[in-house]
Amino acid sequence: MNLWDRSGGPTGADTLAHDTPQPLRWSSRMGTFHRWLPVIALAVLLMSCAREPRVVRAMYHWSNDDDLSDAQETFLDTHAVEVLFHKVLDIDWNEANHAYPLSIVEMPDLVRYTYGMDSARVEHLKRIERVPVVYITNRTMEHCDSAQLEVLAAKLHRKVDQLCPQGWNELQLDCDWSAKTKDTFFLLVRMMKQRTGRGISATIRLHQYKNPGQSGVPPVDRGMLMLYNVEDVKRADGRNSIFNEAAAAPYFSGASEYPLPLDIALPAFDWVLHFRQGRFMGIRDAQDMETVLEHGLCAPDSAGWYRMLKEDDEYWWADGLHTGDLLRWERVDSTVLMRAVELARTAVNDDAVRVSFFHLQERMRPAYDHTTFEQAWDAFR
Amino acid sequence: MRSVSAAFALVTATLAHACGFSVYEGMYRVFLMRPEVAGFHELAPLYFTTNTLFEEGSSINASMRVAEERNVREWQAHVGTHIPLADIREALYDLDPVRFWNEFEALSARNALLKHLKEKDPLLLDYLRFARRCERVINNTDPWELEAVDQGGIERAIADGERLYDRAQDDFIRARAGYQLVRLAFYRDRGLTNDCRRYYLRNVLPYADGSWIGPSARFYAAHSLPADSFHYELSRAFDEGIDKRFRCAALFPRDSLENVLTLAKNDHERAVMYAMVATHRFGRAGTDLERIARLDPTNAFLPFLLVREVNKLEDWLMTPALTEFKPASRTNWWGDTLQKPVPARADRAYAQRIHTLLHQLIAQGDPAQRALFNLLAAHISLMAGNIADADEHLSLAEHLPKPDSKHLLAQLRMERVMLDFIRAPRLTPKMEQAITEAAEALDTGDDVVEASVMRDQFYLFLAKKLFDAGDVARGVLMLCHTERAFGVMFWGNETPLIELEQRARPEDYAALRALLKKADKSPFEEWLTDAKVWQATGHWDGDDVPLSSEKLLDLESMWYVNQDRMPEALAVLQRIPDDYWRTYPRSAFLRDDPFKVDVADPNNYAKKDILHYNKRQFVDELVCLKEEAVKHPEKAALNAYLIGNAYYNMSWHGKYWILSSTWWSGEQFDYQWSPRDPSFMAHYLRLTRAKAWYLKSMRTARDPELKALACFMVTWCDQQNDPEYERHHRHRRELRDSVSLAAYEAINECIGYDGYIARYR
Repeated sequence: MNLWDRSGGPTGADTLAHDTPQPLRWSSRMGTFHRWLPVIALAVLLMSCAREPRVVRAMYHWSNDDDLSDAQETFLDTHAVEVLFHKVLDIDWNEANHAYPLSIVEMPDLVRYTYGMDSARVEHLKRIERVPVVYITNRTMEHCDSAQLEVLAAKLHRKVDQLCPQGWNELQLDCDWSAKTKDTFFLLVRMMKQRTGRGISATIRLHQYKNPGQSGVPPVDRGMLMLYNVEDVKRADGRNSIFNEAAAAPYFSGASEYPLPLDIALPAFDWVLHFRQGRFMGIRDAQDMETVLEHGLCAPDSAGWYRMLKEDDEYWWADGLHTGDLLRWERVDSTVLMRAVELARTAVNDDAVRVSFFHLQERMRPAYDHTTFEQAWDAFR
Repeated sequence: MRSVSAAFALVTATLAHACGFSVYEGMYRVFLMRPEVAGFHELAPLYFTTNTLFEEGSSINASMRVAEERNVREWQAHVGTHIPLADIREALYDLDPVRFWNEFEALSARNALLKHLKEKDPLLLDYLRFARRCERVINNTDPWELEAVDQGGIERAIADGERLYDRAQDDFIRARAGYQLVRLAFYRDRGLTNDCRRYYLRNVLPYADGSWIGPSARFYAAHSLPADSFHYELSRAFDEGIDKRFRCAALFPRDSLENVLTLAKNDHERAVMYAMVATHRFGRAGTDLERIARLDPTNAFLPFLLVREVNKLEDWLMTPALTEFKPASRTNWWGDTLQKPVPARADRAYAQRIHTLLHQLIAQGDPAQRALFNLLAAHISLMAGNIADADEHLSLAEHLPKPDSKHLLAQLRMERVMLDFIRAPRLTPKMEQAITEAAEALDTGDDVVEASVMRDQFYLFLAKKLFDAGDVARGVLMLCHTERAFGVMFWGNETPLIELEQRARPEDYAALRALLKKADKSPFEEWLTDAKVWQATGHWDGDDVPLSSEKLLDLESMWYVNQDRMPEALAVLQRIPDDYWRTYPRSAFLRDDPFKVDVADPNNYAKKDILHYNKRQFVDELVCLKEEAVKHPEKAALNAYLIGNAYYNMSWHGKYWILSSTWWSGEQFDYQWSPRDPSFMAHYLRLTRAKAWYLKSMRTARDPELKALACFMVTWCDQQNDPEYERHHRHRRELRDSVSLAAYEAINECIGYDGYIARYR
């Protein structure tokens, strides 16, 4: 399903389980009609009063695996997901190579193996719009001058084309730009738009959402508001860094409508934060936390914390963990998720909104079941 | 199917037994001469003892470390000895460039070199950062995976490198910045343009006098030259440099040597070329070495090449002499000989040739290498069994001035022990002390071949000599301390227990038990007897505990069983507590009746046996049956049948094989493989004893059905031994009465078979 063609007609409407298709609004087209903005705004306001936004179900796939498992494809199919945001590149900077990819992941072919697969499922998977996502560290933006940006844009264009042999209509750039680097990042966005002639979206952090005047508004077509990573992971005060309402709510309080059509990204992941004597040591994959608990290497301590009881270098996951170290297994439960949804709803400013979860894991392990995903998506209607 | 597998067995039997089936050559190739004795760690991939020639890993790392250490020392000479070598090494090599940049502030706060450069020599610090950049772009492919290399990164580095070179005030930085430019140009253009050579001639050569950098840069710059000149330059870089020696040797042509020789300016250069060619020789390189000795008797590469030849001779002569394996370098993975077999006498003649060359070099070669040459001559004599000559050379080596080499000193110690042990293979207190010291000296701290591997070889040698001297007890214990083995079983190396089972007689078991129980053990005996089977190679037998006296008695009883001396076997078994039989693997046999053979279920998988025996009970009953048959002739036929069953079951074919052997393999019968004497093969694999008792039963039985059953078992034994696996019924003609014949036909057709075997049990 090609969202970038949606203004031309309701392609794939039969797979949209809950809504009548509505075109996504792209800010780049607004310039043409800026004279008519007041009229359009009024019309939009009237429409939004009269109608609920169309919810486009989306998922992020943030992994260095370029293939989706059967379980992951089943998830996409079961929940009628229409858009898959897939990380293809992680860009960082060093003295020798300047901007360079730390990881390169090809866009997965969802229908590579269809033997024995239900034809309806094949059709659905075929229609899923796949959006390549490029993560760029802010350090990269700090170091790049315009000449280096030109080189970076050229390489990005070539590489994304290479990684998406089936083609692409939208590229999402994910960068935690700051007031200091916004001009550089925005220049990169413009270069990419000019080079590719295709849609560009960008992720919007809560601080960027709250203070568009300071942080600037990227010259992209759509923004993806991220409702996770709301706290510094290095804090050892026990507040959930993935999402906690106390930290997130102030960003929405008194926020004016964001000047870009926004999509929403919600948390559906967990991780383990590792602390030693109050000092943050790093993030660990939560994939094996249950196994580690079963092996008795650590046990619950105070609320949300686990304490290492013994060391076992034989078990790779536990390598580097010392007896007495504290682990915080952070997750977002369904109640808290629905609070995030409530906050996110206030940011919706378009007739159609892509609501995405971060992210599609090999084994979905959020603290809520599939019904919660449905409820969260439905809550935006 | 049976015939196919039998045919396959015939083909593969040799391989399985002789080649080291599934055993990596590095696990069995014998080398008792440590290759590092001549130094040349930078040529470690060419050591003839590495698991695989040109192996990745330790030998490659060792080859790089030599140049790195030299560079670190050059840096220290430049910045001052107050900067520790370790700090210089850390800043130059130990950290990945990305970590170096990311953690630079923290690193420069604690690293003496970086601190010094930051405060006193910012230009050299700029160079160091630049060098780490070059390392990143040169040693890695394009991170975008769009080009072969990061062309943009290299171009930027060349531009910055030229600026840095122009700013340089001293030769140290000039030579190094020039060297980086040489490498950058080489990797940008794959060495094909003149830029690389131009940088070498202009930016390196005038400033790199005495540094390792000059010859290294010469290697890169050579690539744009015509073939013969290129090869000549390689020989010069090989001779003068360090870090590119291995690459130069690998790229040097053996086929067009004559052309390159014409470019050589003197005999020394010619000798170096022959040395490079010699490194290519997988077989004998004696002719090259003799040429080198003629052209340039003090050539620096001769010691390295001679050690290599000695290591080859060890493989050719000692691998087959000390183990059951063929020479590893003449055998492929499957045990096939790679070339026409070389007679041992030809190898011995070659050993003599190298020995003669060593004599010549002791007289005319580099005086500093005389100790090494004498050591090598001693080692060759040791291999050849010429102990007097070995002792003479070793004594000379021990007393001559030696280079400051821990490896050489360690080798001299080990050589002395081996020589003395050949002469008197007894573990006297003096010998125990010498073995301990020699083994400890093998930890030199900068090994290419791990000290543990050398120790394993050393212990294997000592174990072999102990076995040869008849001291099976100590030989087995010594073997428990090495990962090496004399041969292979179907599942891996022979374990010390297998060796014990094959070699030991009752007196050896007694000696072993006495040694294990000895109250006042010497420290060496404490070490020797702290031998756990699992320390050695192989885990199959389940004895992951120290050798217990029960286990030794059990093994001793097997010896008597296999000699068919059952009363003596019983006497030994009676000394074992019953608890022992309830431990694995004995426990797996406790639900079996060894006096019953059901050909439909010979291994009692159905667990239908009613009477159960442990090993002691089994032999006890067997002895009783034999005695009863003598005392009561009317029971002789039945007892003979039951005794036949017992012998059948204690064979490879039966369910109670553990009475005769510690291990069982399905392939053992197919390959007709046994390390033992032929008599064991006869009764264990070919059922001679079982058949004899069945015949006796058949011929003495008055009960026609017992007669028929015994006759059938005779036929069954014959069938097990027929490659076609057919029943020939040769003995049926001995059945004269109709009842016997009818019963035989019924048993043969499996009609009422269960009833027949139940009737006599």
